[in-house]
Amino acid sequence: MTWREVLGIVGKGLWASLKAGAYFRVSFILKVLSGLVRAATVLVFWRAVLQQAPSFVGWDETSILVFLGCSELFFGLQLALVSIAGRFWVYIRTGYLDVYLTRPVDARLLVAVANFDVPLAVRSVPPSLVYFGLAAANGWQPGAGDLLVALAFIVAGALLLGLIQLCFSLTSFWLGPTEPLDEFVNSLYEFGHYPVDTLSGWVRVLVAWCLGLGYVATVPARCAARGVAALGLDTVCALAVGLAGLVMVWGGLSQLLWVRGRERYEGFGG
Amino acid sequence: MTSRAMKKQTPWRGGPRPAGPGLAALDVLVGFVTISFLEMRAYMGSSALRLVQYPVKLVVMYFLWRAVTGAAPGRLGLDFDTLAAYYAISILIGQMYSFRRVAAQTEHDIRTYAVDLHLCRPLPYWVKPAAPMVLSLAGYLTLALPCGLAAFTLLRLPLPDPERVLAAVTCLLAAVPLRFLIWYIIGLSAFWTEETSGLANIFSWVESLLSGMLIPFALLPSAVATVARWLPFQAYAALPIEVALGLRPPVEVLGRVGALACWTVLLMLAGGVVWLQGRRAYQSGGG
Amino acid sequence: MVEVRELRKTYRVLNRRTWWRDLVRPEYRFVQALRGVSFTLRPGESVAYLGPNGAGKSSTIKCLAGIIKPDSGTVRVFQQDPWQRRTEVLARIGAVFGQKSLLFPDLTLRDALDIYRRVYGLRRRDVDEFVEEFDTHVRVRHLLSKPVRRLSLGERMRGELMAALVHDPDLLLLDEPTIGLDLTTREGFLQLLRRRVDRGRTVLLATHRLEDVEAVCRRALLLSSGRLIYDGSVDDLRRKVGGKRSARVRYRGRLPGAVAGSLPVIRRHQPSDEEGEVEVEVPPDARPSSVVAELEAVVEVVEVTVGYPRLEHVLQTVFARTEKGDAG
Repeated sequence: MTWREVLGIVGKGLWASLKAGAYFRVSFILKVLSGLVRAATVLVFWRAVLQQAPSFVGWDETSILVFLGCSELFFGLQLALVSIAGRFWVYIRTGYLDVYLTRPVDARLLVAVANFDVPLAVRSVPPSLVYFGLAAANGWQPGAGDLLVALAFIVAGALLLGLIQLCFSLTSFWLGPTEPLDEFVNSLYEFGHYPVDTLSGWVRVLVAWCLGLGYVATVPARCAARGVAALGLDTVCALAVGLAGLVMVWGGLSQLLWVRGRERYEGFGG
Repeated sequence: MTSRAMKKQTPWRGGPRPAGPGLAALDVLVGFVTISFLEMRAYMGSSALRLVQYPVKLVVMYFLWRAVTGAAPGRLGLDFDTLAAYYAISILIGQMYSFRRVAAQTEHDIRTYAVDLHLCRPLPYWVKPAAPMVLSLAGYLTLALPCGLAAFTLLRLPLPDPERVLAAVTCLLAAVPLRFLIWYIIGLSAFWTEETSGLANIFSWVESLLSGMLIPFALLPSAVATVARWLPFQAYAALPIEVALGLRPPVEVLGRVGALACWTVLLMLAGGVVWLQGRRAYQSGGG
Repeated sequence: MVEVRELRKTYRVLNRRTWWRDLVRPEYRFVQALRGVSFTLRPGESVAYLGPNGAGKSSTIKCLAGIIKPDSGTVRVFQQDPWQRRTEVLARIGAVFGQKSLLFPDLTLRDALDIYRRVYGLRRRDVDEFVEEFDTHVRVRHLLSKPVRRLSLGERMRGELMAALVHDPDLLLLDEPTIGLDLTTREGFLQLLRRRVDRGRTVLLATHRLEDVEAVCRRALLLSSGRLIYDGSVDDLRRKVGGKRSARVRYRGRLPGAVAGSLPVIRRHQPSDEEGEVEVEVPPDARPSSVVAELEAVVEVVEVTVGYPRLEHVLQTVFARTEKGDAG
């Protein structure tokens, strides 16, 4: 299957999921509203934090607002596109993978397409605009290039976390229900809600750079808030290479687990 | 399976069934709880590992507040140790039970018409989402105490007095019916909306703020803190935590439990009305 | 088209004890789902794949579709190994697993078809023509714009069948495809299947619904405890097993006791001297007319109805015999 065909399937899935938002209108409106409520709550939290320390470990009010906007976009994308990666084990354990394996396309792609939830990505747009709007009111003036770099990091970061989740999920071929692992990986997302600069020592190395959670919002927010030029092109390139490396490592591992796991797969329930 | 084991699972087996609708309902309730217990035993390993989120969440908040207090020492109304202790307890409470499951289960049953099956049984529907919650809470109480103890020891925080802990646990348990009812009503909204995740998200954020789970009341804007103190949500985070940490007297729990009872009765009535109205709006399908 | 030789598959099942023992030192037992199954399917054949629960029907279908890897033996579908060349093989296969959905709950049937159109690289016009044809047999047009989660079981099954057939597959692997379908819809679907078979498509139908088998299949494969115990025509199966083929004769007059005693009478009813009814078993090697001729010699035959053995009875007999054989 060519990349063009894959993109065609993904595009069709995204469009269909967006239309599904229209079928369940009340639910869709409530989802959008919930994003705004979440933003209000998060702002109250950070207001309390920043009132105590207007600047900490290099983050001030403006950069925190940009960080929140990036974090919101990241989780919107992640939930809308690859959140099923963490629950992939359910398909393995219940034998539902069978039906996805009857189509001439990678079953992982088809499961992802079946679970696209574009309204969740749409939900994250108004809160992001609120955060970015408040940052702009504080004097934030981003360059278009900086925003693009930040967005690229966000998209690649979402893909990376999807791959990490998928790896844990695929261990279900050997371990059975991996719900606790899923819970564990989900809890790691907490690190994406706060700048990883607050961490120290080996926790920072492990979380931010081995698991790549620094790419969730910290790196994009730094690029967008300070600008690529201020960070230094070398630094940004090094970060991009690091992210690419992590994607390749986790992608390779997930492929290995998939191939080996499929050989053990027995299906279930007739 | 031995006959003794079978009797254990189905208490009426080998004897006459209890007479009357009330006793029959109790009979089925016991059945549900027994089945849930067996399920819980079967997945005990998984249940225990669910608490794995606790250290991760605690590490995040620990480092954040350490960075904040380190940047501006003395500006906070609460010192770092108190904040660390506050979050050590608050996050532990957060792992108590995912009450969202009550709403999710109810929504699922309504959406897939599985609620039809329960309408054929001599037992109110709410028992179904309630039974696993009760058992999970029992499991949680056993595991949470050593987890909390470990967290306080590792973070080198002073341990709270046992009487204060007891008062806090009482307050937490007294709030369980209220939490259940709120999430049950959210789940029942599926009779009209089909999907409840939007409403559930809205409520969970409001709840996390107004219960003191996200941030101590002392750090909230005064208007928000005042509203929060009038609402019952503080009973399952801010109040028990502050009582445990010695920031509020344990006697406050008594007054709060009384208020909680009133809220619970109100919500029971509301739940009944929503259920009846929902049944009218319900269009079963499937087949 | 399909060639299966000495196919074997064993599953490993955990013997549940206490959770900590399962974690530290798990104990397994091994269940042989397929024990050397061999058969071939030719283009244009419609074959029933029958067997009691746990016989290995679904495991065979999963091996044919490349879903699971056989332990040993060879499987060739379109001259290729479906495990190694999954994508190429599946492009020409349509599969239905009655109890598992191929559709997407939040999307409409139309959206699902659109996604599958992309998967199979079909043109929009092809899909429209297919829907047109499908709708003449199984009414689906009114369901196309409904989200799948709002469909009833029967309506969803129509969607499942449509999604499985959209690319006009050469080989159809159907595992309980008529669950939840009403009589009219089922008849329409079976008619559609017959048309596909007439056009040279191959059907392997695993089901417990023998009416479906009788309506579509000429050949049957019988599987019991992972072994193929019969491979031949459905009619031969009836004859070989020798189920109760009977002739029910209504007559005028009184049937003499001696004649009645010499016939293998199943049921006899003589309300008066004027008329009566007798049901006689027809031996496998005899013709029903010979039995009727014997009766005509002594009474006036008014009406004759010949009853053929129902496939259910035939299979019950076969599986009961096989189980006895296994036990012995």
